[in-house]
Amino acid sequence: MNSKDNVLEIKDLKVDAHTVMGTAELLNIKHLEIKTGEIFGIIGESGAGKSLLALTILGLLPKNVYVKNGQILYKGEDLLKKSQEELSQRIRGKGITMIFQDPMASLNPVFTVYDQVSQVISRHNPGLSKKQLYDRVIEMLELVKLSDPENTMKKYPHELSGGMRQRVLISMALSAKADLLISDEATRALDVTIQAGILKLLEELAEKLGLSTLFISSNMALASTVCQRLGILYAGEVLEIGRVEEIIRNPRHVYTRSFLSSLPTVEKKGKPLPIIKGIYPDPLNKAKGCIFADRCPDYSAECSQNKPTYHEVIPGHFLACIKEEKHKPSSDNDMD
Amino acid sequence: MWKFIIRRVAIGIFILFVVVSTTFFFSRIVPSEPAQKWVGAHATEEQIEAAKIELGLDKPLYSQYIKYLGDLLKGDFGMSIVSHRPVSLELKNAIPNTLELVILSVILAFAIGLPIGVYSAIHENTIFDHLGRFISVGVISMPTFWVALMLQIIFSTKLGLLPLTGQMDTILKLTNPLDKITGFAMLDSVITGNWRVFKDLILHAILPILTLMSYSLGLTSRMTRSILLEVLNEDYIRASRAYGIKERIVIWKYAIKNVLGTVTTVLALSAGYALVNTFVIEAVFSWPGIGSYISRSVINLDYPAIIGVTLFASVSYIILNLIADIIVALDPRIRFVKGGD
Amino acid sequence: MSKNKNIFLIKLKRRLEALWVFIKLLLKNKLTGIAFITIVLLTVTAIFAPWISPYPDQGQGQVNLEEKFQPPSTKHIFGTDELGRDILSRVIFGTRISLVISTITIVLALVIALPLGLLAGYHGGMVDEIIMRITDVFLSFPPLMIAIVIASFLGPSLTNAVIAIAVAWWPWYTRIIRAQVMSIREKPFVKASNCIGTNKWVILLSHILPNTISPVIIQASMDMGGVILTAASLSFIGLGAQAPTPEWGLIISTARTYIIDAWWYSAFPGLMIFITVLSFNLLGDGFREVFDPRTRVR
Repeated sequence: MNSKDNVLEIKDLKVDAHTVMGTAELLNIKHLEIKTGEIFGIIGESGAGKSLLALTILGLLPKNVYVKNGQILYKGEDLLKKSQEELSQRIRGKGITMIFQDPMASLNPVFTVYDQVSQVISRHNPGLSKKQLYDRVIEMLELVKLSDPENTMKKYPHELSGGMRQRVLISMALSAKADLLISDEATRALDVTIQAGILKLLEELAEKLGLSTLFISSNMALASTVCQRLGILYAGEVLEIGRVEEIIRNPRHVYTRSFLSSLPTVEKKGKPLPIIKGIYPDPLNKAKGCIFADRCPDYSAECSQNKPTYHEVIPGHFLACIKEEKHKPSSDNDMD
Repeated sequence: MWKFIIRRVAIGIFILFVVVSTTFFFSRIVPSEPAQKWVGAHATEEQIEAAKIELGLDKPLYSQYIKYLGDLLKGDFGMSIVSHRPVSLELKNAIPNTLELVILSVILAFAIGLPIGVYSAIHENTIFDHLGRFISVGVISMPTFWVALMLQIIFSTKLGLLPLTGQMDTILKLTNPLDKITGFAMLDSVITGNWRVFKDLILHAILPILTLMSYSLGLTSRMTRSILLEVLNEDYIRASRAYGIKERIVIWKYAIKNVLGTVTTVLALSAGYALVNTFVIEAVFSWPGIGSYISRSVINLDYPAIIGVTLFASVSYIILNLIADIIVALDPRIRFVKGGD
Repeated sequence: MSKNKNIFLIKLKRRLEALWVFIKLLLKNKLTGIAFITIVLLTVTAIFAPWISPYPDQGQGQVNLEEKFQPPSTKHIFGTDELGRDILSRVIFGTRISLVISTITIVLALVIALPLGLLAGYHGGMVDEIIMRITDVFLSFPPLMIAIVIASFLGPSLTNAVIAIAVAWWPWYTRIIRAQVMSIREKPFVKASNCIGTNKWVILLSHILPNTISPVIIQASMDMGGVILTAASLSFIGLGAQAPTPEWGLIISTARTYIIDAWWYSAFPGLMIFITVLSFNLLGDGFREVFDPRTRVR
C-alpha cells in the first residue's frame, strides 16, 4: 500500500446528499486505490454509486450532493482540498479524464468534432498556432483510429455512428494527455460488435500511453476480461476488492457470489438464474450494521449490530464481512 | 429545408383563412345594424335601405363572402362604419406608430431580460437568482394598463419629467412638420435630420415603451432562465467540464449556442404579447396606433375596423411564428433530420 | 366486503399521505407559503366582503357625493372616488367578482375542453386530427387577443367576457387532456380492461377520466392569475363588467380620467390586482418546482 505506486487513493470517503426527504448517504468508501498503469474495475448494479464516485473524483458533484469527509489523493495531492478553478486548470482533462455512457448526449450537438476536440487541446496547450492545433486534432483522431479524420472533424455529432461518437469522445478525453482515465460504462449504449472494438482500443491506448484506468461497469463478464483488479460496489460501499482471478474463482462475499451466479453461462443453460432476495437499500435510511445484512442468506443478529471492518483476507484481497472475519482470525491480525 | 418552410407557410395561410372566415361570419350573425350606424341614428327607412345596398348587405351571404375575400386580396378591408374612410388607409397610418413601440420595447426587454435570465441560471438559488425571479414574476403579474397609469402619475403628473399622452407636441407638429417618408415617425425624423422632432418623439415614447417592456422583460428573463438551466444539466456540459474547459467557455459558448434557437421562440412570443398589449395601453397614452384604433372601434362596434386590426395582428403572429420556426430549424440537429443532408 | 373497505381505507391513507408530502414540499419555499396564505386571505375577504368592508353600501355602488375625491386618510384608507364612494370597500367587493368570474371562466373552459380532449385522445384518427387543427388556430394567438376579438363581437358585458376568455383558454386544456389520455390508454390496466371486454364508456369514465383530472386541475390553478389579468384588461377597455359593478379593471378604467387629481383612485385597485395575480403566479411556480423531477431533489 505504498502511495508511490498508486495514481489514485481514496480514504474514508463519505458523500451525502440533501433531499427534501432528508439526508441521503450515497457513498461510504473506506479505502480504494488505483495502481499506476493498471485497469481497475468498479462493478455494481445501477444505483450503487459508480458514476457518483467518478464525479466525486473530478469534483463535478450536483449541487445538492457534497463530500462529508475523506481524502482523494491523486499522486499524493488531496483533490478535495482544491478549488474548482485549480481542478479545472490542472486536473480535469490534464491529469484525470473521463468518458461517458452515452456519447451522443456527451458531445455538444451544435459544434463540429473539430470545434470540440480543438477546444480541449487549446485549453491545456495555450499558445498553439492554428496549424499546430489542426495537426494535433488530426493526430488525436488518428490515435483513436477514426478513418478519414479530415472529413470526420467537419461533422456534427448526429452525423456520426455510435462507435465513431465514442471514439471522438475518447480523443477529446485524451487530447490533454491525462494519465488517469475514468471510463463510465463507456460501451453500454453500443452494439456488441462495436463494444468489442472500443474495449480493444481502450486496452491498447492504456498500454501505449501508460494510462491508468478506472473501469466502471455493471457487467461482470465484460469487466473481468479487461481489468486486472475488481472492486464490488453495493449501495455506495465497497464489499470486496481483489484480483480478477480471485474474485471470479474464489469470491468471498455473499453478494459477490450471488452477483456471479446470476450471470448466464453455458453450464447454467436451461436452469433458472438465481435472484437475490429483498430490495436494494434506501440511501435515505441505511442500516447501521452490514449494508447487505437484510438480504444475506447467512444472516445472524450480529450482522445488523456493527459495521463489518474492512480487512485484508489474503494479500491484496479486501473484504467487508463479519462472517469471514470469524472464519479467518489470522488475517484479521494482518490488518492491524 | 424548403419543404419545411413551404409546409409552415401553408399552415399559416390555412390559419389566416380560418380567422378571415370566422370573423366574417361572426360579424354577420351579431345583431349590430351596420347600415343603421352608417347613416346615423336619425335616418329614415329609405336611407337605411339605400345604405344596405351601398354596403352590399342586400345580397345573399355567400356572395357577400366571396366579394369580401376578393376585396381582401386587393388589400381592401372595407369602409369604417364610424369615420366612413377606408379601413386600409386608417391602418396604414396607425400601423407604423404601433410597430415603433413594439419593436423598441421588445429589443430593450430582450437586451435587459436575456442577461438577467442567463445570470440567474448560472447563479441558481443565490440571492441574485431569487431576486431576479421575484422581479420577473412581479412584472408579469402587473396589469399593463395599471403600469401605464402609475408611470404617468409618477413621471408626468408628479415629477413633470415626461409628457402625459400623445406621440408629439401639438405646437411642434405645426412649427416643424415632419415629412412622411417611411411612415415611421422616428425613422423619418432621423432621415430628414429633424432633431427637435426626434427628441420630442423619444420623450413621448418613453412611457409607452417602458409599459410594454415590463411584461416582455419578465417573460424573456423567466424563459431564458429555465431554458438555460435545462441545457446546463445536459451531459455534454458535464463532459466539457470534465475535460477542464473554462467555465466561461462552457457557459458563453457551449451552453449559449444551444439555447439560442429556443430563445428566438421567446422573442417571437414576447413580441406577440407586446402587440396585443398595445390594444390595452395605447388608448391610455392617446398613442395614434392600431391599439387606440381598435379600442375606439370596439366601443362603436365598427366591425370592418375590428376585423382589419384582427387580420393585421393575425398576419403578424403568423409571420413571427414562422420566423421563429425557421430559425429553430437552422439548428444542425433539426436540419439533418428534415433535409436528409 | 370488509376487505374492500380495508383496501379503500389503505388507498385513502396513501392519498392523504401523498397530499401531505406534496403540501410539505410546496411550502418549503417561503414565497410559495406567503402566496398560499395570501390566496386564503383573499378568499376569506371575498366571502365575507359585506362584513369586512368599512362601507358595504358604497362598496355595492351607493353614492356619497359629500366626500368626493378624498385622499387616503384614516376614515378612507384608500381614499374615495368621483362619487364619494370608499375605494377600499369597492376593492373588497371587487375581490368577490374577480375570484368568482375567473373560477367560472376556468370551469367553463374545462367543460369545453374535457369532452374534446377525451374524444381526441381516446378516439384518435380523423376526429383527433380535426380537434387538434382547431386548437392550432387558437394557440397561434395570445389568449388576450382572442378574448378581445370574441368579446367585441358578443358585445360588452361581464357574461360575454367570461365566455370570450373561456373560448380563448380551452385549447390549452384540450391539449393537456389529450396527451394524458393517450399515455393512459397505453397503460397495462386499460389494455387489460379492453381485453376482458369492458364497455368503452366504462373504461373512459372509470379508468381514464380520473387519471387525467389532476394535471389539468394543477394547470388550471396555475392559470388563475392569467385569467384574472385578462378579465381585468377586458373590463378596462370596456368589454367586460359595466358600471356600477365594482370590478377592478373597470374601476381603474374610470379612474383614468382623474389621474391628475386622484392618484389613489387607480393606484390601490391596481395594487390589489397585482397582489392577487402575483400570489397565484408564485403558487403556480411552486407547483412547477414540485412537479419538475429535476428540481425535486433540491
